[in-house]
Formats: sequence, structure tokens, C-alpha cells
Amino acid sequence: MAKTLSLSSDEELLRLMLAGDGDAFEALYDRRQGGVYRFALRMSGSAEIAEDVTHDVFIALMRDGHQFDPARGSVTSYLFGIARHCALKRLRRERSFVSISDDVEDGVSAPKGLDERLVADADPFADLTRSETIDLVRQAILALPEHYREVVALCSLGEMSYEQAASVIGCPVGTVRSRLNRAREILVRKLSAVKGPAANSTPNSAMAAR
Amino acid sequence: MFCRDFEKIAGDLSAGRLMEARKRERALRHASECSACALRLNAERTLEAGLQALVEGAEEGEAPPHLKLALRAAFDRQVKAPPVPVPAPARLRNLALRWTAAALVLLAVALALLSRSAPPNIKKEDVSSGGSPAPRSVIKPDNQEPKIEPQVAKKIPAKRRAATVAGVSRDNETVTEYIPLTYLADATAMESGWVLRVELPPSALIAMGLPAPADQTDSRVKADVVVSDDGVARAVRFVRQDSARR
Repeated sequence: MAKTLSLSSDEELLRLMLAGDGDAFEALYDRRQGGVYRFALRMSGSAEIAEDVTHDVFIALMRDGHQFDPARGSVTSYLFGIARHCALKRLRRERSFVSISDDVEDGVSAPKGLDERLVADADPFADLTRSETIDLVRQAILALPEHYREVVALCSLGEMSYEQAASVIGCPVGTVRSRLNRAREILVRKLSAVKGPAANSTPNSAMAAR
Repeated sequence: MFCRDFEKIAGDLSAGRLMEARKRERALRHASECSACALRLNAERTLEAGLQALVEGAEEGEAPPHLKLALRAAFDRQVKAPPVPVPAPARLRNLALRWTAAALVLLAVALALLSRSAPPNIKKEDVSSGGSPAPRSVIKPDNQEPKIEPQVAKKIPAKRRAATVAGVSRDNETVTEYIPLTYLADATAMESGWVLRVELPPSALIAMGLPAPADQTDSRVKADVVVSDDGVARAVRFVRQDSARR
């Protein structure tokens, strides 16, 4: 039975789950909880919020799963759509968790400490361990505005296609593409600053020329 | 390729999302000839490496195991719980509620007109007098059977809340509590009003998200509707004749 379920599509698992099949629910949870959890974690930077969001997503699936419409997207998109809603709602409630305040051009800032490191160190990556590099990138992503952060979390980190991300966010594909492009520009600027003055000046100049 | 064009695809190029081979070749050729774009591509690749490190990071893990146990328990509880009727989509429900409200308002207006021109044998009962309603208080012109038929009209005393009249019923009837029609204004904020006995098709109950009596699916369901003096339906309760029970 477990083997059969593992081969079933998400839609089939959802159908069985809504008919009361607990094993189908577990199979669907096992398959999709990781992505939902990581998306929430990358959006919030908090394991606690990520856990709460994952919980809320699957509770909502139990309660409102019959509202899923395959014509509007996949089960994955449906789950991430709920996760996005829950995460943004939670972030707005706990706005103090991520501080976004001082970028001149985009209203974008790094959490306090990141900018200081970027400015103070000529090449901080050189001395960073892998985990520190990860932490630096994670903080830079957390400093992005939510509408940029979510496309990075979905496309660059979640490996969703632009079409899937558009389905999750509920916007045109072109909007996803342009937001991701802009988000990457902001991140590149941060990392260019890390790489040193030479690298820092030219990409910024190229961007300024646009 | 121009620098502006390159900048638009630099992210996709470094992330391996640029699937069009010719476009990719042109972009790489441009980067080899333009130092600014070469630096941009290098910076994008650095970013991509950082993102990949984040994706592969062990600490990025999954939801804790206890969450799965908690959710499975919640699922099992939900499955064991008695089935709840699935409500209609909100859009349809709102539409049905509006139609129901409109029908009730029309009914109230019709009743008001009827009461003004009522023949001597039609009576209405004032609840405020404290007397229990009697079967003879039916407002029904002789020899007429309208589809939605007002059978009883009871005047509600001033300032009396809709909920307080929930117990008024005939001896041979079973009634529900009054259900406020909450899509309107405050159901209890009324100076005075009327209780109208109407008959509704079961589909109207279903449209309002209420369970229709299983034994009356093909017949009309009796209901008492509280209508304020301004003609707005405020609350409704459902009535079952004891003789109709099976």
C-alpha cells in the first residue's frame, strides 16, 4: 500500500486524503513538507515560524483541501500558495523579527551587522567557513523586501519554474521574472561589496547606467 | 548583444536557466568582450554559488518529526468527527443569501399590503400581549395558496430582541432557535417587527449553508422569519409539524 501511495500523484493523494485516508495524508505530507518548511524558513529566517507555517498549511489542507482546483495549478502550487499566505501573515504580525529599513535605492537593507561586515572586510568570503557563507547569503536574502524574497525563495532556492512561482504568487510570469532579476541585482550588489572595491565599482556602475 | 540585454539574462545564465543555446552563446561571447558584463556575470556566479550553498546546507532541513505526529493525530480526529455539510462556495452562498433576503423583503411588503386590505376574517396576533399564538391566527386569504405563504404574523414588542422570541411556537410544532441573518445589519437592533410564517424550498436552506431535513427534501420547509418594521428580514427559525415526523 505504502509503495502504491509513493507512486501516486499529488492529486491522487489529496483525493484519497479527503476521503479519509490517513496514509495518503502522511504520504503527501512526507513528499511536500520539506519544501513548505524550507520556503517558510527562508521567508522568515525562523525555525519556529517555519514550523508553525508548515503546521498551518497542512491543517488548512485538511480543512479546505476540497477547494483545490487543478485548473489553477498543481497541488504543490496550492500548498506553497497557502504557505506564502501564512508566512506573510505571520511576518506582518511579527514585523520586528526581520528589520528592513535603510537601503537608499530600493528600501532594502541587510540586517544590522551584515552591512558592517560587507563594508569592513575587503574579502570576507575568503576567510569564511561554508556555514558562515551560507549565513551571510541567508541574511542578505532576509533583508530583501518580501516580494523579492519570495521569488528568490521559490525560484532560486526552491527551484520552481517561473510559471509555478507565478501560480503560487498569483501574478504574471513576467512579474516573477522581473522581480527575480531585481532581487538578484540587489544580492549581487551586496556580494560585490564583499568581493572588494574593484568588483564593487564596475557592476554598480553598469547598473547605474541603466 | 547589448549590455542591457545581457543584464536581463545574466541571472538566468549563471543559474543555468537559459535554455536557448544560441542566446546563451551570444551572452557568453558578449561577456568575453565586455569587461563590465564579465564582472557582472562573475558576480552573478558568486551569488549563485552562495545560493547553492544555502540550498545544500544541512541545517536547512525539514519540519521536526513531532509535527508529523501532531498533524496525523489532527487528521485522525477530523476523520472521526461527524461529517459537516460542505458549504457552497462563498460567491454562490452570498448570491443565494441575497436572493433569499430579497424574497423575504418582498414577502414582508406583500404582507404589509395584505394586512392593510385584509378581510375581517384575517387576524394578526400581537405577541406583546403575552398570549400564546393559536392556529386561528393564520393570515391567509380564504381559498388561496401562495407559493411562499405567510401563515402567521406576530408583532414583536419594541426593543425586544429577535432571540428572545425563539420559544414561541405552537404546541404541535418543533422549532429551532432563531438564526440571525448576519449578512444584514445587527439582527437584534430593531425597534419592533413581525414574525412571519413562510414555507421555503429545501434548496433555500442548503443555499444558506443549513442542513435540509432529509425527510422533507421534496416538500417545502416551514420557517418563522423575523421581519423588522422597515421590512428587513432579521432572523429565521425552522418549524416542523409533529405530525410530519417520521
